Amino acid sequence: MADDSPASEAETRPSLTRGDRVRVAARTLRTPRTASQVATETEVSVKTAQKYLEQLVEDDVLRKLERGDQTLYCIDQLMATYREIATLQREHTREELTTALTSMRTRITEWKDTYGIERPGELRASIADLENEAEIERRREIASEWEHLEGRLPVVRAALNEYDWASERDTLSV
Amino acid sequence: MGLPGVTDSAVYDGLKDVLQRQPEITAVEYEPDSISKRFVRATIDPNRVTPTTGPQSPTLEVEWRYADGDAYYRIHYADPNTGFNCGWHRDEDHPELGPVHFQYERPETGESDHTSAHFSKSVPAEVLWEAIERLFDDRLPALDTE
Repeated sequence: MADDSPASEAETRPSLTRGDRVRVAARTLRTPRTASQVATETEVSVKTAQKYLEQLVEDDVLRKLERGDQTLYCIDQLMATYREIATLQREHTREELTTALTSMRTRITEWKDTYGIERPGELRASIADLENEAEIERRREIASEWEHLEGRLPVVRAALNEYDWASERDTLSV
Repeated sequence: MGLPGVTDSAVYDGLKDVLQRQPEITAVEYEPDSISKRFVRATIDPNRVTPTTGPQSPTLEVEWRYADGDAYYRIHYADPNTGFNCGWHRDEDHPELGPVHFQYERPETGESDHTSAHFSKSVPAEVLWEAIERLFDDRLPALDTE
């Protein structure tokens, strides 16, 4: 898309138009921000920021929130999650997703058994009582991986749940 | 050192986009794979950095997490040819240095250090732009001074 914003705005990196800069930043807007805040971060005018943010709302990438007299923008998490599920379904076979899901669950079960706990937070809490640096490091690494897998599990599981139905829909579309 | 919290695949897509736009970067992949998506690894052309290095490609790893509303991240460059590695980390390792620190290790000279760091931006894509700019424009060229 052509960028028609005024030339008086700050120079951005050569390969990036102002619109691109706002669009890229917007895709990482996990914390809700006003158009003015996005404009400051991306070094464009508020008008330019607002124009692209509104486009992204129409494209279901961002969600608009009204808080008092402020309008805030952030990632549309529901739409992002559906897109992520669709990507997993399109780019991976049912077997690949099943294997990954099984492997994630197995690792979590092993940690639960090894430490006799149910949640990664409990493993983090247990670090406070330790003095052995290597063991502290090891538990932190496991807690970190465990937390990450807990976040990924529902997405991979959702991709698998309707895999056949989604594959049929995907075939219909071409 | 592992970061606390969970990743956000929407944010990762945006960060991957930032990396793919860098002229020094030739490939960007999710690690350990595109199902697990623990972090993003960019492969760098050894001839496109200053000072040039090689023959192996340096990497830039980016991991971003969220826990209790706070962001934690690791933006780490590593050159397998020299062993030089450096990065900006927002983690729990060096609370005495503030929320973000810069660390580097230069095996050739035995130098290594951790220093306090700060980014003027807070949107993840903008933090990453800023870090990449500092890396390629300041940190790596500074290695050439000796």
